[in-house]
Amino acid sequence: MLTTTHTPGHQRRSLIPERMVPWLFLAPGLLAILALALYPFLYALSTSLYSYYLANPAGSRWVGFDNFTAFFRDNNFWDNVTTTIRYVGVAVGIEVPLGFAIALLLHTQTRFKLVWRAALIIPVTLAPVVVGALWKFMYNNQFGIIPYLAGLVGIRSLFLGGPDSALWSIIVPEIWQWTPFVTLICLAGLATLPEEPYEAAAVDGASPWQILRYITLPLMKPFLTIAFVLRMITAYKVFDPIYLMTGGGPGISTQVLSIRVYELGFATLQMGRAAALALLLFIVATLLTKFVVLRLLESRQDEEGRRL
Amino acid sequence: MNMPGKSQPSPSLLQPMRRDRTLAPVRSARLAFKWSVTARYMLVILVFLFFAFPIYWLATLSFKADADAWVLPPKWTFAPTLEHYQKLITTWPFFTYYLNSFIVVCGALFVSVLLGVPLAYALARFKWRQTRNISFIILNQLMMPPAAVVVPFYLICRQLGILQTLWAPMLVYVAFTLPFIAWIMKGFFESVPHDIEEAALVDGAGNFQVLWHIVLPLVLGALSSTTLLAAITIWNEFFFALVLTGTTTYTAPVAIMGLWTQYTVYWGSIAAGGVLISLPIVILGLIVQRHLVTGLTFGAVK
Repeated sequence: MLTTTHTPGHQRRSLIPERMVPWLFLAPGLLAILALALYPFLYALSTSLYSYYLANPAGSRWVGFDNFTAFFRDNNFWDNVTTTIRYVGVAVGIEVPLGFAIALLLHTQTRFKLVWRAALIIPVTLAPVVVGALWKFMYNNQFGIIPYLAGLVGIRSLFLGGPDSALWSIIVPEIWQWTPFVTLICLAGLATLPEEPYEAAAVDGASPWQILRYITLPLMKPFLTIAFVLRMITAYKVFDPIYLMTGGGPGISTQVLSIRVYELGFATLQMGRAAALALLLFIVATLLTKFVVLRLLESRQDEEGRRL
Repeated sequence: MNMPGKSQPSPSLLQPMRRDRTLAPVRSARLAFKWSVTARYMLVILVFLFFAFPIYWLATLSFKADADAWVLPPKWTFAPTLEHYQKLITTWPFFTYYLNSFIVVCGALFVSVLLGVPLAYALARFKWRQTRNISFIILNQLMMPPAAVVVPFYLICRQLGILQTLWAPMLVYVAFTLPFIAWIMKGFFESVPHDIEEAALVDGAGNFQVLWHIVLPLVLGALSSTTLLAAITIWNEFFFALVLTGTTTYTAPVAIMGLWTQYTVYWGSIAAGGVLISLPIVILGLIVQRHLVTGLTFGAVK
């Protein structure tokens, strides 16, 4: 009798019925995610229908869709949208080609690999708030090194302080921090490329540009797509460095939508308006996930699965 | 241009394919455009300087006396001082804030791993009719901008009475790291050959035993890297912590903001704080190198 208690079969029966086990694995995690994702969404939805001033919660009243329609009459809002699109567009438009070019350059650079890899990895892992503080110091108009170096080559600018230059100035740290991310993806991609096409091209005497254009680029397309999509989404999420460097200013020249939500909710305490704007951000992110990210990542995982 | 790649037998057909990237002289020679060696090195150095210089500037700023830091032209040599670190720790309870960050990271990760790993395994191994929808919910949460949920989370924490306690950021971070760990680990579990588990199941082991004794040891490296990556994101998180914590419960990134006073900005101490915040995660980042890209791309690049 004692010996049978130690067989795996018996142990199994003594625990929970085996057919329930998959459910036990799935349920706690899934329920937690559902609660932490759906409940805030519904909460935001209901908040957005009220005029809810945080300093006077008792005075909140039902206003229907007023919080939403207000944005469409609000020029400030359209400026926020434009600023966000410009921030994302310029940042990603520079990061992806630049990151790819750097990857091509470093791919064959085997000497000092540890050193340059560290220089790529450190920016990616740094806290955005530290990056923001660091660049704010470097941009300082009295003793910052960037205005100083720019002055040496004859560029005069207010950088973060100028309504025209501020947006460009906050994009530079973004590029500094996230171009290495694209480079790391591209380096991983370049390492997986097959050799045959290159050998064939070498035999045929193709020029380096032809090789890049007709072999490397097509083969790298999936990696560039991933880098592009993920950069786009994280640039869209940006808050920390902008909050730190300009707080959205001067005026509203660097006020991306995230900063506006903070401004509405936690500076002017208009929770209803903030929730309505947050929902718009939510919907855009959900549409991006549904139609771009889900397809992209699922197909990648299937591919990996097949390869293994 | 016609690429007659198929029309001629490529040399590699005559020899076993070489997968090792260090043994790819033909490709390397071709990818590297025929720049002269010097020009190439100049470019590499330029790239290196662009990314490394700000890091160097931050580190030196934390060791420079104010008189050396707040001058132009910048001083390249200076007598290093620890005064900013001393000020940061003695006049500003930075260690408390540092500890707060640590507590929040550990708490959020504990829950996320505990719930996320079984969920990932369930999604990878068993057939569910809703797998695609569950994937969508998980990914949607990962792509969500903090600004889109900060208002409801703030109001919920207020209602629960946990505002300005460490429970608030912990709760919110679970909302993001749990799906992160579940999604990445799902990918790793899918890459474990099914045969091993089936053999164990035939031998009479239960699903739980298979996961614990057979599959988990195989993915332990991946799991620890994934957890460390999640730790980095929580450690660095600023927006929620800014809104949800109070003077005694600031996390380290928020504490830096306190050095921006109305009258003066303690740049040296801010840099010292920046170095102290960055040091552990930079080390972690360099340790998890191999899985860094996998984690950052949500498993799309392995």
